[in-house]
Parts: sequence; C-alpha cells; structure tokens
Amino acid sequence: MAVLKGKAPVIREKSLSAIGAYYGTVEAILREFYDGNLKQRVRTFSQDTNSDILYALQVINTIENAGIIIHGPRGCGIIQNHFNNRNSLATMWAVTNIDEEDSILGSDIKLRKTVKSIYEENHPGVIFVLTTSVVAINNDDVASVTQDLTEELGIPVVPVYTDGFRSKVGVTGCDVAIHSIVKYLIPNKAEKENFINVISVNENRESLEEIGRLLEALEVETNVFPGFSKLQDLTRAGSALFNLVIRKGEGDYFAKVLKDIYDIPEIEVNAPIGIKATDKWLAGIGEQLGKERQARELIEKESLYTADILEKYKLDRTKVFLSCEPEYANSVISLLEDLNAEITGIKVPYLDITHLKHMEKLYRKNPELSLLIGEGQPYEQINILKKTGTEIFVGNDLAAGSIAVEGIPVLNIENINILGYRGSMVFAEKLYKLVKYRGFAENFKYSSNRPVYQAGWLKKNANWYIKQEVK
Amino acid sequence: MADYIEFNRNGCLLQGAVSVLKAIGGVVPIIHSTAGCAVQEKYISNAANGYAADNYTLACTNVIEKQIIFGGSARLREQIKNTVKVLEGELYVVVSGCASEIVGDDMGAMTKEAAEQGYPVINISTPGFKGHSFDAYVKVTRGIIEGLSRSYNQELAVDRDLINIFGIAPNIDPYWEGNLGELYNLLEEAGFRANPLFGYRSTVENWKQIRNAGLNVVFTGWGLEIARYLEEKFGTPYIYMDEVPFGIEGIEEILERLADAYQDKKELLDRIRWQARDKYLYFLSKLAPCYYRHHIQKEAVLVGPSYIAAPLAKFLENGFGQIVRSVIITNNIPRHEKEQLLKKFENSEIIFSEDGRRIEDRIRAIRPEIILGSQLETSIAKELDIPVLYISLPTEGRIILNKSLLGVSGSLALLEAYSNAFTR
Repeated sequence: MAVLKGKAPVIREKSLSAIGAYYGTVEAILREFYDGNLKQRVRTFSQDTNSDILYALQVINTIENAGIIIHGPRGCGIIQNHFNNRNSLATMWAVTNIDEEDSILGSDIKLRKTVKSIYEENHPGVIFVLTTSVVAINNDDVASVTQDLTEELGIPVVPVYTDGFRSKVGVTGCDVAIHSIVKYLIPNKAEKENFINVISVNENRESLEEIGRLLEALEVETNVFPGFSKLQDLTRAGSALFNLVIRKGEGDYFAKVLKDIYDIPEIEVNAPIGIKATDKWLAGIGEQLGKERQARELIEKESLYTADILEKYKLDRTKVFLSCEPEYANSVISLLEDLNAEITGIKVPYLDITHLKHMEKLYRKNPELSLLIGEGQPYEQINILKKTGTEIFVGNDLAAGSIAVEGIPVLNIENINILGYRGSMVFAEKLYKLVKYRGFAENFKYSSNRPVYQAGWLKKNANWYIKQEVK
Repeated sequence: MADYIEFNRNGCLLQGAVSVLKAIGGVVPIIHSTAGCAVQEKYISNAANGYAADNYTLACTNVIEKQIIFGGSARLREQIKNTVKVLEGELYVVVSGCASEIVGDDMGAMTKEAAEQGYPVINISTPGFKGHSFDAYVKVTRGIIEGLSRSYNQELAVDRDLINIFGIAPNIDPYWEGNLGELYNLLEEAGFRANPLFGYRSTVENWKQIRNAGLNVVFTGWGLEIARYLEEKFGTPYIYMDEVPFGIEGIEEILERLADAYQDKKELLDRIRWQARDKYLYFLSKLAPCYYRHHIQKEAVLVGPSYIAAPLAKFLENGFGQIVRSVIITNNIPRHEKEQLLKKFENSEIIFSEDGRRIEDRIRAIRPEIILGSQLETSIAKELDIPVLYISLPTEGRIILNKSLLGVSGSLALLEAYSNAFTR
C-alpha cells in the first residue's frame, strides 16, 4: 500500500511531468519531453481557472448516499449546486462556513460539529470532507477529526486534501479524491470476481449509456464507478478482473492504484471517438477479454451504418479549432477529418508523459500543427482563432461563452455524448447544423459591444505571456 | 462562530464583489486569489448576464504554492501590469481572496505602484471569510467612488435632473437588470436623466458623475448607507425607501416622493402616476375572470433575500389576495432590519435561514400551494407537486435576460407567471 502512504498523492507536475502552460508546435514540446529538458511554464497574465476542488467534487458528487462537506469559507464549493443541477441529483452537501474568527482560532471543533450534525440529520453512507486553501494554510487538524468520527459514527468519514494551490493543473484534484476513496473505502484484500471495472469520473449519463450499450453487446459484466455509482460499487472494485478507464486524464489514478494494490491489469485502449477509434476500442477490449466474436459482430453491424450516416454530414473544408482532453485529441481530429473539416489548432488543458504517443501520432499526421496548453484562458484562444480564421470552435471548455460572443459558433461537447458510434453521429449532426445555420453567431460579427480584448494583444503572439517558471 | 450551511446558496465576500464588479461597463476586476474562487461565482449569480458572464474571462492571479509560502505580491504586480495590456478597461479593480489575505500580500502597495505609473487601478479588500456576498455591494460601490475621487477631483457641477439609483445589487438578484431598466425608463419618462451605474449603458464616466447628481434614489439598508455617505461627501439629497418598490404601489410611492422633491415636475409626475395605475388596472382586469375561474388564491411561501422576498410577499398579499404562509429570508441583515421585518409581518411567519435543508423542512411542514424561491427549492416543490417561481438566486437553467418584476409591466409579468402556474 506504499502508493497510498501520503495523505494526498504526489501532484501531477511531479508524478507525470504535467505541464499546464505552453503554446507552440507539437514537435517542439515533444522534443522537450524526449530530451529530458521539459520546462515548467507559467502565465504572467492569467484568467480564472478551475481548481483541484472542482475536480475532486466531480469524482465524488454522483455517488449515491454520499454526504459532502466542504471545509472552508462560505463561498467554497458552492459550485456543487451547479453539479447537482447538471446531474439531476440532490447530493447532500454543506460548507462549514469558516469565518474570520475560525480562520484565526482554528476550525476543527466546527468541523466536528458539522460532520456529526450532518450525519444525524441525513444518515449518509459515507461523508467526504474536502479541505480548502484556508484550512491548508492554517494547517488545521482534519485527520484526527475524520478518524475520531469514523469510529464514533460507524460510517467512513473520508478526508480529501484539496487546497486550491498545490498544483498548477486542476485535474490533480481527481487524484486527490481517488487517493482517499481507495485508501478509506476499499478493503485491503479482495477475492476475484467475474467483472471488469469501468472507471468513469465525469461522463454524462448519455455517454455512460452508450458505453454501457457497447459493453453489453460484448457480454461483459461491468462495475461502473465512481460516476453515478453506489458505495458498494466502489468497495468491490478490488475484485475486478480488469480496469477500463473511459477518460484517462481523470480516472487513470484509480487504475494505477488498483493495479498496485490488487494487481488488476488495465485494458489499454484509446478513447472510442469516431468510427475507427470505436472499432479499435471494441476490438481491443474483445481481444483482452476473449470476446473477439462479439466485438467483430458489433463492429460489422454498426461501423458501416454509422459511416453511412456520417456521409450526410460532410463539411466543405470548414476551419475548426479543437479544445479537448489530450487523450481525446487524436480521435476527435480523425473524426473531424473524416467529416472533411480542416484543423486550425488544438488546445488541451494540460499535457503529461502519458500523452506522448498521442502527440507523436498527431505530429506525424500534421507536422505544422500548433498546440495551446492551458485550462480556460480564452484570451489566448481568441488570439489564435482570429489569426487562423477559424470558423467553428469545438470544445469542452467553459471559455466557450466568451468565444461565442466573438461571432464564432461553438460546438459545446461538454453536455452531449461524443463516445461510441452514437456519439459520432450526434457530434457530426450537431457540427453540420452549426456550420450550415449560422444565424445566431452572425449577430455578433458586427457587434457594437465594448471589446473585451485590446487590439494590441490580439496582434501579439499568443505565447506572449507564457514564460519559463523561475525557480 | 457561524453555523455550517447545508445546500448553501450565498457566496462569499469575494464572489459578491465579482458579481458586482462584472456588471459595470469598463470596469475590469483583477482577482488575487487561488484558482476556482471566481469560477464558482458564475453559478450563484445570474447565469445569463452581460458580456462578462463567462467567468473564465476574468483576470485572476491563480496563486500557487510558492506564492502562498513566499508571498504573492510580485505575482500580483505582474498580473496588474499585464491585465492593463490585455483586457480593455477604464478602471481596474483588484479584489482579494482568502489565501492572499491570510499570507498578507500587500495589495495596496502593488495597486499604488501601478496607479503611479498612470494606470487606473484601485483595490478593495474582499477575503471570503470576512463576509457574505451581500456585503459586497456597499463595499464595492463605496470602494469605487472613493478610488475614483482620488484621481478625479473636478469641482462639483450638479445637474438637478441627474439621478443615481442605489440598492438594487447586480447579479445578486436575478431580475436586477430588468428592474433597474424599468426604473430608468420611469425616471426618463418624467424628464429626469438616470445615471446607469450597473449593466447596460453603465460606464466608468457615469461613476465619476455620481457626485453631480441632483438626487439619489435609494432602496434597502445598502442604498441608505451609500446615500448617507454621498450626502456627507457631496451634499446630495436622497429619497429612501426601505424596500425595493415591487407592485403598483411601490411605483406610486416613488413617483409621489419624486413629486415632493421636485415641485416643478409635480404635475407631470402625478400624471405619470395616474397613468401607471390606469394601465395596470386595464391589464389586471384581463386577468380577473381567470383569477376567479381558476381560484387563484393560493397559500404561498417565499424564499429569498429580504429586499426581494419581503416586498413581494406584501405585494402578493395586499395586491393579489394571496395567503402568504411564510417568508424565509436568506440574507444576513442587521438586527434592526430584522426587527422591522418582524413588525411588518406580524400576522404571517417570518424565518431567517440560509440553510437549504432547514428551508426545505419548513416548506414540507407548511405544505404551501406554490413556492416563490430559487433553483434550490425545486426538489421540495417536486416532492409536494407544486409549482415554483424563481425570485431569488441561484436560478440556473432559467434564462433571464432583461425581464423585470418592477413597475407596471414587471408587476403584470409576475402576476401572469403566478397565475399561469395554476391554469394548466
């Protein structure tokens, strides 16, 4: 259990050489990685971005019968209302509401009182306590409170040590939550059973439905968690034959820890986006699990059919900028190219050593391609979009709102399913409609609104404010 | 020691400051805090608003560990220097989050440094643990007025017809922009010039002109605080109403008070008042058959901040014959305002709570026929199978562009929505 020793995992910058700021060619950044000369960069101008707390919340906030306590001032974690709304759930959550007095005198009594009271009133099966910057800076004692109350209340009270500042890449928060889940909720020993773990952190219900449909056709028994799962789905995770991670950037730490402790191998497949990648995904899983026949039949049945549908949505060299997870980039670009779009550039929220193969493929296909790394940061994206004459923005990023008002239509892939055959069709259809029916976006082309960005900035190179970090 | 809050709906002081600042045209907030603080503000303020609705555009230092350990003043200096080159603005306002305040970053010095180089930058201290989003309205408004008067010291040139409105807080109230618009229209109809300080048509220049207004029209305790400050500083007289003037009577009261202050416009103002009532009654009469056919006399619970829930409750009771079973006040108001409210609602229940669970429990016990509240009341409404109308934040999933609940059309729109909840 050495991997779970610390109270929180090593941050991604250290564990995976993750970087969160870069603009340049794919080739140049690959060279830095391969030469062992990777430079950690920072922004000297930055726009608001997600913290680890927001990611950690997403790992736990769809688990049935869980209670979430955010240990911090009143504004911390208020995004949970949005998550509940988005997921059509009413996951119980509370904030300890640290005020000035608590921030000086310490807040552990308050935490204790909150946990007890939440337990008595709601009887959740597990309580997660997420820490925040104030608690981290003041070094308030959370461990002994959660430990005491776990014994006293008879349910796991699980500390999740988020802080909002330790890592420059927010997605580290997934690791922090996963670390605690495995450490506190999954028994040390487990008997093997005949199912595979499907690790899904943030897929929406439509995406999970499609993944479930495909795996069912392969006649595979699955245990899906933590997204929309029950506590027992988590506790039996150690018994699985294999791990399958849907979006590696978020769920990979689960697979890593489960491999380390229970020796569960991972099915190494790339994201099922677009026809070719979905074929490969199914074939890969089929091969690994001895379900080759089922996979072949499914591919035969759906692959051509989907291709026929996509034919209807072919574009005419439309210029598209893509913002998505690094492990999705290749597949989405292939799908876009199948649809006859032209890629003007891509943006990923972060990049680390697990993505190098993807990036290599990308580079070989398109040596000129430029890559922006960062979460949010619409100022850089708009700079690039304007210079490249991008016609459509495809992205999962919430900066989409500010791109929209620049007159560029946005295919927001955050709340639709783009996975599997069905996802490809949905994606293609929505993209096609955006390209053909531009009435809404046209309004903003000649907007008299006050400009958001200065003309001087839009002329500069988009990497102007990305500088090498001074140690 | 403040209590914990289950299903919290109100943000912190920093988030409130962001809500207010992003509603002012030409003002660019610079957030000195850890990542994530202001991202979350987006989900408690009105999700569909203005150009800066997308919080990912907000300048933020996103301070990291070493800036916590060794201090983040240098990071702030760099961010200010670059923000004025990237984001278009006439006034840059540095606001601080918890982490930067605890480690003691010298925001004042960094701001002063930039100001000395000729950049219009001011700072307002807003650590989240020091207050409530509602506290931000007065703090930010005063902060800007004070900040601007340091660099803008021209002689007063009072324009009698120019009027400022204070007390309707942007992004802390779902209908703020429509409500303000309605008041501006009313003032302009009477030959005054409204001075838009928030939302559409607001500019930093308008903020500089605050001192030259002939009158401040203010609502709620916040407005009063600002009005007193401006009276002392610039000698501007004011009209104060302790509530946001919902309902036809609210509008009539403003017009009467204006007529008292501007005797030369009395005739015009009286005529507008008469016309407002006339128009209101004309349209209300269209509702009359439906009101009786569908028995639109319902038992209601209102949930929201005092300045919305309390006056709306009175309007629904006195002007629409509704039975207000309970008014649940979700903001933090001073004791004397609490006492005032208790007096006003002698005959119906009034509760002070911002805890979603307690609010739900109370509503469950009352079993009203309709809730006027927020997104957080939808699950209890579903459970009781009753309609819910949004009057307070958060209102995610509901698009509110410039809809108003104020004035003749706003009052009618509210009654229309209320009635429609029972005519299906």
